[in-house]
Amino acid sequence: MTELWYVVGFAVVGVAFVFLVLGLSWLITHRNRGDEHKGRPYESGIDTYGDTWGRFGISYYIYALLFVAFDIEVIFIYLWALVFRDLLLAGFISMLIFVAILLVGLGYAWRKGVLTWK
Amino acid sequence: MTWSDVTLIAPLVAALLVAFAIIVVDAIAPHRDRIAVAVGLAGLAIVAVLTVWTDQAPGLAFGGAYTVDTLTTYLDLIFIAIVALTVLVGPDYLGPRDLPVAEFAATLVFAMTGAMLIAGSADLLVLFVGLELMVLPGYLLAGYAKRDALSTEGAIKYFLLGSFSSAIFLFGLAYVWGLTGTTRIAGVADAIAAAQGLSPALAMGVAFVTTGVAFKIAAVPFHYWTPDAYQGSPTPVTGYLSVGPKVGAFALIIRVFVEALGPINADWLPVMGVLAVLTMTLGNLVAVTQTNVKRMLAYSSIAHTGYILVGLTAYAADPNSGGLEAVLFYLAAYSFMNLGAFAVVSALQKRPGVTSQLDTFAGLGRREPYLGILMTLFLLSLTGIPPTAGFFAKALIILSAVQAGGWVPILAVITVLNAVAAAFYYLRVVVYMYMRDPQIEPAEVDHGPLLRLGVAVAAVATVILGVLPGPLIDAATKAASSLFRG
Amino acid sequence: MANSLDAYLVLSGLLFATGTFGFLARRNAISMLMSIELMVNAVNLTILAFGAFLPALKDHASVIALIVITVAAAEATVGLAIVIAIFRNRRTPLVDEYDAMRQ
Repeated sequence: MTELWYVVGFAVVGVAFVFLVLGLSWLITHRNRGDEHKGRPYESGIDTYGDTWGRFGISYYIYALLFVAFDIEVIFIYLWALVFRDLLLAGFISMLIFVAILLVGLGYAWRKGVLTWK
Repeated sequence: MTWSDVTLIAPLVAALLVAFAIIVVDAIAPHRDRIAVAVGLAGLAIVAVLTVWTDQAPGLAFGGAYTVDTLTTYLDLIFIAIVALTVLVGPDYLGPRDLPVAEFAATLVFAMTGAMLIAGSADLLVLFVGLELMVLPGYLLAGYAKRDALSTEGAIKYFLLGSFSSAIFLFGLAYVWGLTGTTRIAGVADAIAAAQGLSPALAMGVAFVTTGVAFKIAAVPFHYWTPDAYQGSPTPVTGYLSVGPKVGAFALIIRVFVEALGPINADWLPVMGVLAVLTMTLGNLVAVTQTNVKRMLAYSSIAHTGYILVGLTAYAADPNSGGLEAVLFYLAAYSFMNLGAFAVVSALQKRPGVTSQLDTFAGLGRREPYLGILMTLFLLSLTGIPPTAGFFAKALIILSAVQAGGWVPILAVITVLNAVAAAFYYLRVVVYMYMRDPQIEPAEVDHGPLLRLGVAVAAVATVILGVLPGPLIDAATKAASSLFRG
Repeated sequence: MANSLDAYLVLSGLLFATGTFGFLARRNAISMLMSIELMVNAVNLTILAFGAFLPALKDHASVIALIVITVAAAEATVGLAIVIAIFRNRRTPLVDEYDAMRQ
């Protein structure tokens, strides 16, 4: 039963934290007092134009691809972390090899200029 | 993990290291294609040596998930030969088009690792991971000329149909696993044998597995992606795609159907028989109408899938008919002759802009006698005329179908009829090479030494298997007898 | 029926069928890719359902599902890369218009 209360406590604290931060930022920010420009995402500079359905440059997708490829490998790291204590040194070395393989891939992408913003 | 686990998977680890070595070399010294190719070929030689070495002490690794038996070794050596030949042929085509050679070699070696994993899998999950590791680099290779509209178009069709079929295959595997309670191939076979007959749910699982596999080997009516994927890809890639993933998919069929589903071979026998007839007949009929040699060879590769399926049907009807041995021999012979034919097409296309239309071949016998003779050899072998590898391959398939008994000898008759029909379109290319004059006299093409070596190796293998098939037939027999049979 | 293995298998079967239909009916390469992902997720649901209801399969189910997720992600990455390449050439994600080789 204690586990359940942990969960409830966590949920309450989590939700409270969100409202706390929102409330704090509401307290310290300027509020829109009738000035149209104050309501915009950027007060200064040129006015924003177009709607949010505009197309993104293709460069974003390449970063997204790299992100998906590397992010999903975290699945194995989570599992490894769960049983880390039982795996001892062999488990640690296995994970080092796994991460090293990923690093070779990342290094290659870097060297090939994939990470340069074009 | 024990020491024997490590030694048994040594060829796989070595193959991965070779791929890494190529990309590391490319990262340190970009655009030094010769170094990358040299590293790749030397690495492949080491992998081959390790493969033969592990065969000295066969066994199961990782608690029965991976197996090294004579079949694994046999198939692994075919994969290594396929990738080595493609690495030899590729640079001559890629170089003039400014496509990176090192990444090409590395991607091929990654795909080879996947194929080797399939060949040695004793577990359905390992098999699936191997399958994906084999096909994913294949999709990238199909779209390798990324500025070329045809290449990317072929790649997207190959990818969409390929991952669609992977999902279907996986759905079937999930049911086979859920209902038999194990992913081990031997365990699945035992469970199916103990159940004595298929439950409806398991039958559905097997049906999904069969459909997924039929897509992978491009059996009719699941072949629609093949012509576009093959025609669009850069020619050396087409050569690889027509043999590498195909041999890999047949390795998968042997592991899944012959081993895991072996106890119910009477159930999948008629399916294979029907697929075989449809595949070879339709492949040949459509190939006759093609005027583009790459597309023609794509349809003809569909027909060859049909011939191989005949051997598999013969095995399912009677395990002692020699069908499996015939399949294994055919896979090796087909790899060399088909890669050779594509290597010649790719050599002709060295200058960007040269198409693979039939006209390109007009007068080739006079213009480039060396390539003309070798292309004739490969086409004769694909037709099945002695003394070439293709003759013994077809002969073994037909013999096994005759020996299988029941209705299977009808397949032998259909195979012979198809081989005759195929002769028409293969020999038409020969007619073009020797009896037609080109409309425009093409410029001289200077072929690189690697390409000459690659074509020569494929030709020598095609002739040797045609004159002295004995050793390979023995090896195929040994490989077939090393299979687990529940 | 409510909380049984069959219910989950029917649900995952329906999901798989939805994905298959989407793949066959949609003509946008990205939508087709998403349909394939739906099919793979249906497979994962099947696997986890088997694992949840059959005690003997419990341990294996999650491992298999995680590996399937990883493989599916790798597949999606390769697929998106190819879609980007063809979009740069053709400026359209509609597969009907990829017909340069139609004869």
